[in-house]
Amino acid sequence: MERLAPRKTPLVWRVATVRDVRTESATARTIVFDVPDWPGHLPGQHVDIRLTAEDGYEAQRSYSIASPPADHALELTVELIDTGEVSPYLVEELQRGDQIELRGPIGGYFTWQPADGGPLVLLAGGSGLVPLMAMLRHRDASGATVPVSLLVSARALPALLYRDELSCRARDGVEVSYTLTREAPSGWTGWNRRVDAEMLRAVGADPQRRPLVYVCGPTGFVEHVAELLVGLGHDPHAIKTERFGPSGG
Amino acid sequence: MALISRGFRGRRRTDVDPARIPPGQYVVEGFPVLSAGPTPHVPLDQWTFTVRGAVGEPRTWSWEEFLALPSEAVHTDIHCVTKWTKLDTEWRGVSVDTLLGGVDASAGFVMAFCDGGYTTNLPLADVTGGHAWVAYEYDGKPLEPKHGGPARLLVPHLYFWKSAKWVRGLEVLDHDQPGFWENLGYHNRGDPWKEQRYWSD
Amino acid sequence: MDPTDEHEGEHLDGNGVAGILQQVFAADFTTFQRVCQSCGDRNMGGALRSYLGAGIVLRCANCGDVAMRVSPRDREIVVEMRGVWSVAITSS
Repeated sequence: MERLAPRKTPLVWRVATVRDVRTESATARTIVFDVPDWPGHLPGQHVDIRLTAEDGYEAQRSYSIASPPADHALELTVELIDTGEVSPYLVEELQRGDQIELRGPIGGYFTWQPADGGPLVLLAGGSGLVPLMAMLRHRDASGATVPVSLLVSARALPALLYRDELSCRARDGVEVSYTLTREAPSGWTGWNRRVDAEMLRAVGADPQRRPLVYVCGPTGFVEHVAELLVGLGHDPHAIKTERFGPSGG
Repeated sequence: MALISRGFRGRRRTDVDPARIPPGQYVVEGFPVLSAGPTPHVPLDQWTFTVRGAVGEPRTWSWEEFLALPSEAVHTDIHCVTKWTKLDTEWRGVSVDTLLGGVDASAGFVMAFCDGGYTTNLPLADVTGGHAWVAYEYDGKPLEPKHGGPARLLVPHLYFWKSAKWVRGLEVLDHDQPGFWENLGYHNRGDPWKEQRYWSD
Repeated sequence: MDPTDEHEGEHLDGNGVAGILQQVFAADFTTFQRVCQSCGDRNMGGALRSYLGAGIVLRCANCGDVAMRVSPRDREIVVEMRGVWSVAITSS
């Protein structure tokens, strides 16, 4: 199977135009951009966004790409951070037709493509789901049959991203599980606690299966899950992690 | 020429007297947490503060002894080389004059050393004469570990990387030598009003 | 890597600074292999821990020793690298 390498294009700021916005949860939305001459990306990569105020003040942040490489538009799903500087603008202010500066794609470490094989175990904390969603969407779009087990951890039901889409994708070798770490509604059938070793075993993160494991979320989540995985016998070097913090805001 | 983002203003405070803001800085409301490494957690019964080097016998205080030293309240603005300024911060700590009392001023320089291996160099004149403290309270409460607790250096008239977090002592030197950021090209003195960010400034 | 949000001082990782470093190397730093000068651990740039201070400090995920220091400025970027780094060359 052909393995794609990121294209060797210089990293330049491009002007992206908002084609559409979609509400994903109480605090997150997806922004669909048209980016002229977008060089293409691998699932898991991110972009840098730069905002400039009228007086020249600049703020720059990184956001994971949610859309698979085959899509014509570039989609980012952004979670609002109340104390943040860039995310409130992206989630609450930006409108269709607006333009912002963006550069990418960036980072080939936290990426997956069908030639990498599997089985895949994807472990998401909050909006850490975004780059893992790009992997899952690419798996389906490319017709790959690699088994995937996705575990999504979120505080509460209203914070869950892509819920309808994930229920559609949960077939043909794709399993999706949830845990809510705070309040769960009555009738909730997922877990209702912090991720633990038993949960990881249940979603197939057993080292004997030799899965490719990707963990993405806030630093506390990633550290906790990576520690549990090492405790289960995984080689720390075989676990790919990506952390984001409030400074991703 | 960068593209202007319609309606973007950032979270800066713009309601402040410009005379209080050094060149190239902007004013923030919060208190960003910056560090060169992980936050150390040293139990207070193992914490000491040491003055050593060109001072003859090293002097060391335990945490209890340190708290028993005369302390001062400090109200000041702070300026980070990453361009944020925070106004009207409230601290309590021991004046470095108290800690260096009787040290021969001809030595010239100090190197602050810290848990986690961080260092920063300062002219003796910048940490004496009521210009610097070892602070252990912020806003009336014990200084949080993420902000440098149990104690950090506070040298508010210089860029804030000089106000070393998790400080454990001062080495008095007869020559200047660069600390952790200074040897990556950050300015040896770091006066925000002269915008001394890097060697070339 | 901007401190104006309420950054809590937790480390992130090498992925977050990949954009800045791509300006320096014109290559993807997250896939550079590095052997730590301190503990011998072998890992990729993307797996390093990153801390934001006056500049950026990347540390070995295994032992915490400094792997790289980066100082992004208005007109230049200053970089110090420690350990043994392997950078793949792809013919253009």
